[in-house]
Amino acid sequence: MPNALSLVAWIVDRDRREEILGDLSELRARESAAAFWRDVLGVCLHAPRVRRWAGTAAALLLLGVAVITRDPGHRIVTARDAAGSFVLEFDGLRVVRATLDGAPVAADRLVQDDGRLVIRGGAGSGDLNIRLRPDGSFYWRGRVPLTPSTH
Amino acid sequence: MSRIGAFEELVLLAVLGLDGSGYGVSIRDELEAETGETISLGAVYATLDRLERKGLVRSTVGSATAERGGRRKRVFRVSATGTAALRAMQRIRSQLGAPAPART
Repeated sequence: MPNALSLVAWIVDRDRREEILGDLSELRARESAAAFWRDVLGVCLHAPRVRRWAGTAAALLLLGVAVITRDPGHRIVTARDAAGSFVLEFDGLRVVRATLDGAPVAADRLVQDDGRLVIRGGAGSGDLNIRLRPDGSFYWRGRVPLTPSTH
Repeated sequence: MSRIGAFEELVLLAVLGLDGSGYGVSIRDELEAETGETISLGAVYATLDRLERKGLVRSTVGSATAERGGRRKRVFRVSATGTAALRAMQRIRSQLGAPAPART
């Protein structure tokens, strides 16, 4: 399959897009800017096996689709921190439902504004602080498991 | 049996070595560490796609992590067909590398 077509297939496939953007996020945190952008180009062009026309078309297409697909839509993400697992259900960039350690979180324990979400902890765990970014990614500070006081 | 190219074989070996925990970045890291060359992430993805279409690897979607911005990984494992393809390649290599029988 020509490079530009396989790139389209990757971008259209939500799971694949998530995988690639996740890999690039991981690399952005540990690489120099030059190495990171080389990796982005490598994904777009499948370098070094690339023909110039296919690479240019693919890079332009990636930019276009990235603009069109800014809203990540409805998705459910399962993750884990030191205190246990949690599930976030997104509608666009907002979290509409959450589950902590298998238990649904009441709406009044979801505090959300301007790119921040705090899920008030239930019994046995602290708050879960999440930063939501406009590109649909999110980062969290792990809850600290609460232990009963000995005093 | 599926024919595999040299780079496909390297990717298969990296996936095998990572024992079910291999995903795009870790497979690329493994290849760069062992070959000493810079490997394009795009080339790794394209090769993994081809290997999966040939039935030589299987992938599953893992859970999200904070360092990935809450995005999930796609983790790869070598299938039984993939293991057989690697064994066949090893056999071919050892046969080709063995001294030829003397001709009379």
